[in-house]
Amino acid sequence: MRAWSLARGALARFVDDVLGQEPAFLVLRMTLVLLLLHGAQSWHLTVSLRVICAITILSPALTGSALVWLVLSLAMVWSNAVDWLLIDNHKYLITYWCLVCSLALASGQAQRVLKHNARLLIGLCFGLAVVWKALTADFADGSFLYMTFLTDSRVFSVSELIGSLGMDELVQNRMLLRSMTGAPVDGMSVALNGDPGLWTVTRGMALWTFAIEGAVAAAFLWWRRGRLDRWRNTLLIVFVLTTYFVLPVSGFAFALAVLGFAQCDPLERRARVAYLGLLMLIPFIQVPWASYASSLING
Amino acid sequence: MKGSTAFELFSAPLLMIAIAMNQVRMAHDHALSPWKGGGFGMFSTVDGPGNRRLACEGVDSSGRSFVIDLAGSRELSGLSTRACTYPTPRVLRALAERLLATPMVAIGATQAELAERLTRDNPDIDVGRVAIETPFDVLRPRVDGDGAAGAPLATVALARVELSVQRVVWDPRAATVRFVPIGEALAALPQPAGAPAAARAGATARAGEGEAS
Repeated sequence: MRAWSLARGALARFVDDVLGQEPAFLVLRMTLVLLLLHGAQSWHLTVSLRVICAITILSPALTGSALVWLVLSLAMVWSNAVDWLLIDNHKYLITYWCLVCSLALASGQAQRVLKHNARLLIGLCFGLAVVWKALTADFADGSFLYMTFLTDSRVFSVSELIGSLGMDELVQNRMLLRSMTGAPVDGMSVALNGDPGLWTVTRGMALWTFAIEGAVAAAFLWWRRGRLDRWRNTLLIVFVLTTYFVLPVSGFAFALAVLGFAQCDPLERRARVAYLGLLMLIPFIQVPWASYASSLING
Repeated sequence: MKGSTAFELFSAPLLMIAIAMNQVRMAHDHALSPWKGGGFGMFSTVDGPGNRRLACEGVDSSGRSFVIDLAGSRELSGLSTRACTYPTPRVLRALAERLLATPMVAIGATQAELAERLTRDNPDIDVGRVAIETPFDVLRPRVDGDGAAGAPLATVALARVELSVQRVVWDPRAATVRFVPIGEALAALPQPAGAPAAARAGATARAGEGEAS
């Protein structure tokens, strides 16, 4: 009991220490961590970002310098422009966010600019994702997620947990698809190991994704204060927890958590603590939870 | 302390909207994969770059045709990835020109050899379920050391290449996968030195083979 209260006290002091920093400065430091961990895709940007971010994070003067953030933004823009066909969408989001950081520091009202832009960028990100999912025929009926769970090795342990196929059959599906992309001959077709029950589950997942992404987009883009506005942080945190622990894209999760924190009012202590906790949880996305659960269930 | 301007408050979101709208246009008009290009269309469709493939066929001067395997060349497979993600005529022409200028060697894979290779590399695979209807021979880019261990491999000069980017078609009811061409295939011939840039690669479309993008 005493150990528990000591731990709670230490945790409360840690949270007070972190949240006691100037809000904009704290967001900038979180962004530097984001850039260090998930900013780059190509080796040349990885090296330059690590050097600049490591130096900047150690110096409060550099962290608050609009010029340093402009250099970081230009490095991101340059590298992403070269690889625009290859990079993932969260690299775009991180680049926009770096531009916002430099503009915020140059404006003299860093906190206001960061908060305003973070909210809009999250809303737009989810709004665009919903539009694309509505435009494509294979998302709404669950068939995209069904194929993903049958052929994408990142989610095989989840497929095994929620479906009837074993790991060997899933790996074989991956090989069959690879054999087709690797030997491009006209007229090839292949039957994968299917699981109609899994398709039923993925239909439900598709509906859930539509609902939660639409709700996040609406809550962050709806400008008037009200019930929807009050739910925005809960919706975003639920989305991150229910999505990225199934489909491990930790860079996107980390970017959303930083932007989520940035759009909070400094007086919204509970929401800020929740985002701080989310940031601490995100590395655990890489733990193969579904694999452990599957082993536990199947002995 | 000065007030924030509209530029500081809205330029990044407006840039995001502009890039996303351009991405939707490129996906609609030029078959850019919805997953790429900053439009936030990832995880919305099976048509991701990893589920596209480049059908790459070469013909030598005797008229013998080959499937070209680009996996062994880092540069060519990089160009192939870009072509699959955004298969514009310009990107395909650049790849075709590069292929025509690259010495190739025949590795003599046939339908039966492919089946044998698949079985050897993946002991669990059921080759009977991979229905291959077209026999083929395979070329790959010549690399340093080719033939060093045995008889030297003959270099094949290509007289013509045909490129077609294909996307996956997924039938969830039957759980089957096949590929269909995106847009028009591109055929290219080597151009004589000094040919005008517009005539290079001699692009010709094969009628009736592509699906509208």
